[in-house]
This record gives sequence, structure tokens and C-alpha cells, in this order.
Amino acid sequence: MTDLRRLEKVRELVAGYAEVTADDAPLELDSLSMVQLAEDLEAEFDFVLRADDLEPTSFGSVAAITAFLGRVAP
Amino acid sequence: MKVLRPARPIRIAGTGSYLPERAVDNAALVALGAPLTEDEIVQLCGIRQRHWVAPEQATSDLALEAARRALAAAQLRADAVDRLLLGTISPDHPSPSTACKVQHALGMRMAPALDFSAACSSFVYGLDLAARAVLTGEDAVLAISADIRSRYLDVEDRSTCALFGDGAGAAVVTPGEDADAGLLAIGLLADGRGAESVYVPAGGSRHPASARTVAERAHFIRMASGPQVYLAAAEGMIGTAKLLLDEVGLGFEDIALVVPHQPNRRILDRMGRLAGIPAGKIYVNVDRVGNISGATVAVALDEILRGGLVGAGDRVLLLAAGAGYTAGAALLVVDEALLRASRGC
Repeated sequence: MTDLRRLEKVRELVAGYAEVTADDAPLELDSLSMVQLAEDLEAEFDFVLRADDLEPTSFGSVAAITAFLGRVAP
Repeated sequence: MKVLRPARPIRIAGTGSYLPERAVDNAALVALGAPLTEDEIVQLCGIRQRHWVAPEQATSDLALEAARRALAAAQLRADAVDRLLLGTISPDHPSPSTACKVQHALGMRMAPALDFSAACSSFVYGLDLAARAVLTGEDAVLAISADIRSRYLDVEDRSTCALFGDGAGAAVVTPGEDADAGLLAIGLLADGRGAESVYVPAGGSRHPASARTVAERAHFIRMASGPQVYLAAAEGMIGTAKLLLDEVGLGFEDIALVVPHQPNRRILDRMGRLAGIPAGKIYVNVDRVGNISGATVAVALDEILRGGLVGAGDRVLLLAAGAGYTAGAALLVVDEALLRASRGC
């Protein structure tokens, strides 16, 4: 998957739970939305998210999620 | 993880459980001020109701009732019990132990009684401690887990308000005769890195009760990151189960029924999906009792035995993960006598 395609997919999935004004804008997700987004990402990118992965640095913004996915689900 | 594989047969002679009469459904919870809709609660955790204690009840009352039922099933008098173990994170008082109150109420005379704290893993921890006591010469150990989480619940906290219920469960652990039945293996783990993931900040020696701690609502359960706990709970139960099953040379396909801690329906679904356990092989009661902390697995075990959901010779895998973090797994092969005891015949 190309970086651009990955970014577009993340934008699309995140938009289902939060308003995204910019790729690097902090995400404001409640617990339920975060869990649902995590499950969506796992299904879309075929990987298993671990508890240690859920840090602000990896899930704090669309850009951070995209970079994280580039590492764990290239 | 060092797995206990008893050198001599150890069995469960009887189980009992108790849920308070008051059932609180999601509509009632919303009416109490929970900042979620009924649909959101079901989506969030799959819980439709939980049982909460009456104002006059304390943890010892719940533990006592579960213990009496377990002793009745085992056809054992309380004064024949050598030791009473009570896992709880909601004791009647900071001191003395709630176990001592239960011991006295049961009429156990001088048998030792103690509380221990392992949060939602307490029943599996209790089985381990009980099995070790029997292996070192005791004839009957009462392992109880009881918790009242409703007293620590902030109904205005979206992340925790819907999750918890109250209840108690107990098992009588005794020597067995059949090397292929009873408690065949128990494994425990703890990972203190998760100590503040789910916790009650105040009321202990770190932050004693004060006007400030009350004003800050610091006596309620706090969960810093629900999603992280969601992932950690599933990881903990799967990881502990695999370590134990590897030790005894079995796989999930060899297990008749997995009886896990019930923190949240989503966690159970995730556990089944990641471990490849068919939905029908995972016992679920979280929808009607919620998360009863340490009592959860004890109540679930009593329900499957009394409900006839397992037969003699079936392998049952008890699984728990909880605050601390703590985790545990126990492999129980159901024997005919336990089934008869559970059915009252």
C-alpha cells in the first residue's frame, strides 16, 4: 500500500468518529470511538493492535496513526 | 509463568455464588445520571444489567452467602474447613480483614482466615492458594471472591459507570482421588506496570481520606485509558491461557468451555477472535451481571456447574485478568461428584 493510499484510508476511517481539520491536529476521541477505530484499523490493515501501541505518539492524530501503520502494517 | 501442576489430585468439592437482589438495568442507570444512552452502554460494553447491593449490605454479607452455598454443595460443615481465603478489593473495612468476619459468621472457630487482593483475578489466585494449602496437608479450604464495586462507582464517569456489578462466589477445595480430574494446572501472573490503569486513587495510605479527596471524587474507580485496558485484558487472558495450555500440552480445541473474566463483551469477542475460540465455547454472562471484579469467574463457574453446561470429564479453562495488572488461568476437569454436588443430588 502506498503512503498516500494509507493516509487517505486513515482519514476516511477517523472521519467516522471525529472531525478532522488537519492531519496533524490532535484527535479527540472518547473510549468507545477509540475502540471502534482500533477495530476498524485492524480489519482494514490486517494487523493486531497491542495495548502498548495505544500511546498519544502513535494514535494522537491522523498523521501519527498513518506513520504508526507504516511501521506495523507496511 | 510457573504453572502449578499438583503432585497429588486436588479437586473442587462444591461451589456457590450470590448476586444481590437489586438488578439495575441500563434505563435505571441512565435515570441515575449516567452520561450515556442505553444504546451507547450496550455498544460500549454489551452490558444490559448488573446487580447492586442494598444499602445495608457489605462485602462480608455477599461472601457469607456464597460460602454457605458452596459448603452446602460440598456437604461440608463450616467447622471442617481448615482455612478461609477471601479475595476482595472492597473489604468491609480497611481493617480487620473481611475474611475474619465471614469466618466468625460461618462458625469456623479458630481456622485461619485472611483477605488478599488480586482485583479481577482474585478467584483464580484464590484457587492457587487453596490448592497449595491442600497440597501441604489441609483437608478443606474455602476460596471466596466477593466484591461490591457499586460503592466505588462514579455514575458521572462515562468510562466506568456502566461496567460494574456486585456479587460473590466461592469454592471448596479438597484433596481428590482421580489424577485426571479436578484442578490439573494453575498459572498466575502480575505486571505492576499497569498498577494505575484501573484503580481507586484515594482511601489508602498514599492518599488517605480527606475533605480534599472527597471533593476530588478520588474514592471512585478511575480508568485512565479504557481502550488500553480493553487491549491489555484480551492480551492478558490469551497470553496466560497459552502459557498454561502449552505447559500441559493442550490447545484451545481441547477445552470444552472457556470461563473468562467478564470485563466487557467487546473484550470477550476480541479474545475469541484473536485466540480462535468459537463463540459457543466462551461462557458469557456479562450482559446480565456486568463485571463483578474478582467474583466474576467464581459466579460464572457456579452458573455453568449448576446450569448443567458441562459434563463429567469436560475440561474447563478459567481465565482472569485484572487491575494490577494481574492475570491467571486454571485448568479444571469436571468430575462426576462435583456435578452431583452442583445439582443438589
